Amino acid sequence: MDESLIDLLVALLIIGPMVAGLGCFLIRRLPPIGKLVIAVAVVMIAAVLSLSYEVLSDGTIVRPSEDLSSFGVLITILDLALMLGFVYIAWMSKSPLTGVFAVIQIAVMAFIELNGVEEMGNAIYIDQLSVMMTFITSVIGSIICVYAVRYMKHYHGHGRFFAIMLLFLGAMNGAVFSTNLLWMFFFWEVTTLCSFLLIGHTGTERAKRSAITAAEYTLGGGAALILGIALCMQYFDTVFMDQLPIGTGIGGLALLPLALFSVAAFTKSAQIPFQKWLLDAMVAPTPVSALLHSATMVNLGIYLLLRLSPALHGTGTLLSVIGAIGALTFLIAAVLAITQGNAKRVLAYSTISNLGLIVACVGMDSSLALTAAMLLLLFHAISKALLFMSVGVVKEKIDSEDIDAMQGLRDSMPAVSAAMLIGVAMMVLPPFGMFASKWLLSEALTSFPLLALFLVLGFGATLVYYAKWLGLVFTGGTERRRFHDEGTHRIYLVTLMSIAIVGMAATAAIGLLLDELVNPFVSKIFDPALEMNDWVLATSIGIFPMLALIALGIVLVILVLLPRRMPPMMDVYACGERGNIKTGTFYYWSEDRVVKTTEMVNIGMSILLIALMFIPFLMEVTA
Amino acid sequence: MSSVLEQAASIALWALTPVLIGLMLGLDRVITARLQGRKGPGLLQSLRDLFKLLSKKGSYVNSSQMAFAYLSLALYAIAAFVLITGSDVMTAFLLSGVGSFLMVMAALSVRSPYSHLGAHRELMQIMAVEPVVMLIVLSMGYVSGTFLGSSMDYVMFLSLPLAAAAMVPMLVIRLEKSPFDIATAHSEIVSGPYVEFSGRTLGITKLAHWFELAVMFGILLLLFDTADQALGLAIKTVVVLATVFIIAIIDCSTARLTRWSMLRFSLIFCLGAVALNLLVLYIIDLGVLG
Amino acid sequence: MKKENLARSPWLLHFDTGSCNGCDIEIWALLSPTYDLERFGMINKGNPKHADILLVTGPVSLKTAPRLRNLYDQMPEPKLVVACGDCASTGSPFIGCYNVRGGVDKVIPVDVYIPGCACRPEVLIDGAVMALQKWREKAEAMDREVKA
Repeated sequence: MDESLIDLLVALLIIGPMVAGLGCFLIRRLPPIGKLVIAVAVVMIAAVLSLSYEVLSDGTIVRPSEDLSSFGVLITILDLALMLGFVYIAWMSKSPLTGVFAVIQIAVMAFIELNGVEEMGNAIYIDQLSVMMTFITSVIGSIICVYAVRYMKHYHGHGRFFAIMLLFLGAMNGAVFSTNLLWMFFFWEVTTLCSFLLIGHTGTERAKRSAITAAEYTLGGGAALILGIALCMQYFDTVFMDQLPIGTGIGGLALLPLALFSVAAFTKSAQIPFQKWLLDAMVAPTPVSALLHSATMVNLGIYLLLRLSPALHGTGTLLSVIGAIGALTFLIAAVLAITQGNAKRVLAYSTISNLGLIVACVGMDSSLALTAAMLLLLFHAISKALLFMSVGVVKEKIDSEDIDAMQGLRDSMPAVSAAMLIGVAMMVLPPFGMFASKWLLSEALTSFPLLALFLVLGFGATLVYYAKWLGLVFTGGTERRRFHDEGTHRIYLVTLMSIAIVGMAATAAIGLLLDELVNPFVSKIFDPALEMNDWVLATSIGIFPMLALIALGIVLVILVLLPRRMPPMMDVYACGERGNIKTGTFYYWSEDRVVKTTEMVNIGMSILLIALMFIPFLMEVTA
Repeated sequence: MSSVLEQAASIALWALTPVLIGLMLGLDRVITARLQGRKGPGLLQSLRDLFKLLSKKGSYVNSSQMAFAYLSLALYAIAAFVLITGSDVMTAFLLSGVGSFLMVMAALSVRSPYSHLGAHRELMQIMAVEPVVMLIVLSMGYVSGTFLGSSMDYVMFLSLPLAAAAMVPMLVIRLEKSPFDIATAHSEIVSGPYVEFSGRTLGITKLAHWFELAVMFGILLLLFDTADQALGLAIKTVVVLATVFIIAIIDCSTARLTRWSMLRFSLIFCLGAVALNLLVLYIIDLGVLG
Repeated sequence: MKKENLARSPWLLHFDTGSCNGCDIEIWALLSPTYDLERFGMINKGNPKHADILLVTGPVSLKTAPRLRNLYDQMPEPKLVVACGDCASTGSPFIGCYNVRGGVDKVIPVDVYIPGCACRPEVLIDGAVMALQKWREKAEAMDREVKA
């Protein structure tokens, strides 16, 4: 493909949405904004598909920084403006913590610029991992924006909302395309800004407080990131991620930047003890939760860890502690999810839990685990987006996010219940991708059996909270009492169906994904361990019959949906009584206990985090 | 690679599994009856129960209940198939986990308080059993270096004694025996999650439960595989009979405990035992490799 | 073979429609090791949807009559009703009372009547075996109906 065409595609994916966002801001009225958003969605999906094809067929795309030096200067100036903007926000919201972090970032950035930055490297670096992330952002993100066009009808501030959503999409793409750490840091902070603005969009007291909490936590991560970049310059003499050495050669204090990068990743991905901001962020409108806080932005922390996996490979204790933090987060968030009664909070805990699982995979430092991490990343983004969108549609209809209120949804909203079933099925049932990843992870655990304890407990807890929620949705009356009033808007049905189809296509094409997308990335560090032979996923220690299960799934679904002769219908048994039976759900722990557990867990994990920061010093002393 | 004859034999074994499990359950009822000083029904009784249920028309409440019940049966049957034909044990176990998930969904699909009560108790059972058995399967994979049942090491119970022992309480839970008959609690919650099934649909859930027992017993018996086929068969038969006998004795001598004590017992003692076993093996490996 | 299995695996549902519990105690005695009803394959299920045989005691008070009807309806075919004791069979000694229907057959069709106040376990066992015989006939009748 022509070089300038590639440049155009990259520009379309980064700058295109930002320009369109500006357009939305100027237009302000919803119907023309809707058309603009749909146009942007189409353009972005086309661009990302062409770019993916290019990368997968011709290999990594690179653009050296000398060619883009003007952009470099622009980014530095904008970065400074952004930091000053955060100081302003801190002053307006009376949050000293935000101000402190913003000032730290300005100071460190000034230090970096004054000490001169080695600009000899690749600024743009698009490989298979970037393709996966940008696919998630551009395809799923665009579909969520289209969904938001209808959802935001009852809110105000449309111009501002869509401007920031599209700005966010551009910034995400920018973050995954840049290897220059300073550029990535800029895009990282732009996403922080977008998150802050979108959470506080409705302007209520609670929204404003949640927004500033999110800003505090993620700015803290940003401060860790920029400090890590400064130390990176000192120890590795570069700001380019692809020039970092392989981890086996890193020792002692040189591990410090890596530790700081992991802390930044943990704040962005809301790992424990930083999970508060994500839980509070659920006050935002549902498209924001779907886009930022489940499918894309929180994946940025995971992306950073995956991008740094060559540098982390072989670092021994550091990686083990990272893995332990991930595994503990997975277990604790899964257990806490069982206790929640609000659907969005359950999904938030579920997101934190799955991200912890991916971090644990990275921490296992093996080929199978890295493969599992990439597959989990993709499938988790798809299913979470689907689940959040379904919850949004339900919330619009019944005006409540509580699981108890969703009881019997199967009768009143069959299509949306089906979407929820597919979303949960993608997380839990074979042959979908998440399930294959779970199998893969279990196989990977044989090389790291001690983490296995936390992970098996977490897998059990995951089944419990999904069964609880989905079961209540499917609690139906007898067949006689079915209503068929759906009344779900066309846009909702189309967007929900598109994401479901993307998920199913990704599952069916898992062999293709492995060969083209995942294994080439894993090969940079390890020998690929997972292959697809004759439609059977095979590792050196086990097999998973993908085709058989997919075929079986199709057959079963057809059998279930076919009309057939049923036995006589009967009412439920109620000791001989008739009439309205009420059922509810069960919330294993009281609110008090949840709060106490969260406090204890936060303290414990903070200690683990401090231990993480001490490891470089420990290594230096013992070396 | 196994020969065609072996493949055919394992498929035939899978088809006969309900019969074998039915006989085992019948034996359990006879032993329980004799322990209680009465005559008892006879070995074939559980099979007669199943046939009776499958031949009655029964009733249903709504179609998602039926759908989930049939799906649960399908997944359990496939899990048993994967296990018996000697394929990946972890796949088989994860599929059976999905089967239990679907059974809970079937129980929750009806607006009946007993059904919901039973379903939530069943979820507690899943939370108690799944982690332990998953860790046992992981230990088996760790010891053998593979998850393929046909390629696993022989007599693994010599290196995994605590895992084999921890499997027995898991079987007590899954067989719905005191002290852990939590989900169905016999008549106290009117058959728990199975309350709204009747006739043929009840037969289907019973069959699904039997295939699940097949998976659990299959995992236990994999620990007792030997190189000599005949000796292996003899040992496995003895193990099954001994397990049934021990479980019957435990059943007759204990009262039902609460679900929290089941969870505590399972996740602290059983999971701890398997983890300890795994830890010891890990340390031995590290020590040997230096 | 099907009919044989039906007759050898009957599951019970026991319902008390206002009796003095005398007949109920005798029924529960049947489940104890002395009389051991399980050797016929009978298990006491508390759930009409699982049960084949309905054992009723008590002279069907007005409040329990609709519940009895509901439970009977929820049982799957083929099903049997056994009226245990004098109260259930005929309603005596409460015939004519203002709060009593008087006998189970005023509400649901009965297949076996077991006399006695309270009905003795041996007679109950006799009645149970008679019920199994009748059940076989019912199942065959159902089959013939289906084929016709």
